[in-house]
Amino acid sequence: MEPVVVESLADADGSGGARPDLDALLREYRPRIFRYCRSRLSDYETAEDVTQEVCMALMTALDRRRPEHSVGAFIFGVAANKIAMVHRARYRRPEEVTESLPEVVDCAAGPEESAMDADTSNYVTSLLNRLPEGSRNLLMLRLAAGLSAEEAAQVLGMTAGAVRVAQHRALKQLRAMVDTGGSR
Amino acid sequence: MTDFDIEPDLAEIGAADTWLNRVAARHAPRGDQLAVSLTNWLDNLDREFRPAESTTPVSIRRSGPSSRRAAAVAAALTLPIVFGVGAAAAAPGTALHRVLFGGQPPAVHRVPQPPTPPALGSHPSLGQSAATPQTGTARTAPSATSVVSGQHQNGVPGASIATRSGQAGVDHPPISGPPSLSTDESTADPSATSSSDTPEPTATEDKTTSPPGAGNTESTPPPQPTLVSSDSAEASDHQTDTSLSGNGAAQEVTTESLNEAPS
Repeated sequence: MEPVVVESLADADGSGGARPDLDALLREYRPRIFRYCRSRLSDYETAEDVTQEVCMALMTALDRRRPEHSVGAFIFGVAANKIAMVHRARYRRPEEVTESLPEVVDCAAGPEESAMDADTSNYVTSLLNRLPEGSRNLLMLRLAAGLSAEEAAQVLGMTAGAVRVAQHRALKQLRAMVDTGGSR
Repeated sequence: MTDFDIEPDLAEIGAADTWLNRVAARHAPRGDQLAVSLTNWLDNLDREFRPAESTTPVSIRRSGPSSRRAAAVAAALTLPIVFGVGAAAAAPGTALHRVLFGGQPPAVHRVPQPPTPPALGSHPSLGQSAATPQTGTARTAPSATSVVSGQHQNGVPGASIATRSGQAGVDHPPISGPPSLSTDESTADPSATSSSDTPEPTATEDKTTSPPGAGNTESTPPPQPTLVSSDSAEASDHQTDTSLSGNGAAQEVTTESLNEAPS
């Protein structure tokens, strides 16, 4: 996959805060928004809904973006807020445990590949879930959203140096988990 | 003291930043298990993504509501006008009503009053219609003339003209004398144009025995009781006397009075 060039749209809209093309913006950022939401949320439907809500919010809130913030930082700041709202809603209304599982149509590959993918995803997810919330969110912004250290710093309200130090520590923790066998 | 409490080296921090950038760009170094796992995890996330049909905002507003709106406005303006015109046409007395239905007054149906009993009638067979004074407003005809022709048995011509003015509320006493033309002042007037009022026999319905010179009623004997035909009596109700009532005095000679004439 081609590396996401966040600065392309930031340069396209200009530093003066001119509104970029919304269609091109969503076409480029929507996969990344979904990837970030999916990495932070457990189920696919909720991630899809939050992605759509983020896109809808961008249509109206893009004009309120401050010029010193990049487009990517602004977009994923909105996405982070939406995900936080979902987490708060789940905390207030916990899901009920049912005996029968809903039928889900699996459109993925064969059972063996799906098992391997699920195994890999579950393994990584289990590793990430063992990290603190701040470190996990930071790695999601850097890996899933594809933000740079500076953009992640804008989203998290940190400095770029603090972000780099925090991500270094998070990676060291992950490596320690993998070396010790982790949860696998 | 743990490893995290130690201030990390700047080189390690930079290396970690580079490593994250490469993993995010799917350029994970081979042999690094963590990098491969993260790359596969990101690929799984990408496979779950379903691209939208189109990200272009589409207006869901229907096109072409202007025609329906215009039709609604036209109907809202036309219907009150049509109803107003209809209501104005239905109301009598309006100009539109006269234009559409003409200047004809509305037809009024009146119930005719029952005929009053004859005041002087004692002979029911002689036509009560001729003897009945028509007073009041029941009859629309302003005046009626009863022309009664007398057919005498002795052949003496005698024409009796019974005039009756239908003036409302005026009752005339019956003429007890012999009915003759002399009693009628208007008949002496040669200017009377009504042929039925002329003393000539031709003015009457009696066309059989009327010798010339029979107009002088003073020398003629009293006529016989006049046989009044019901037809003439009835027909006389529909005749209008315009010449004999010119002096304003209406005379009414009824059949009753003729019957009481001296024989």
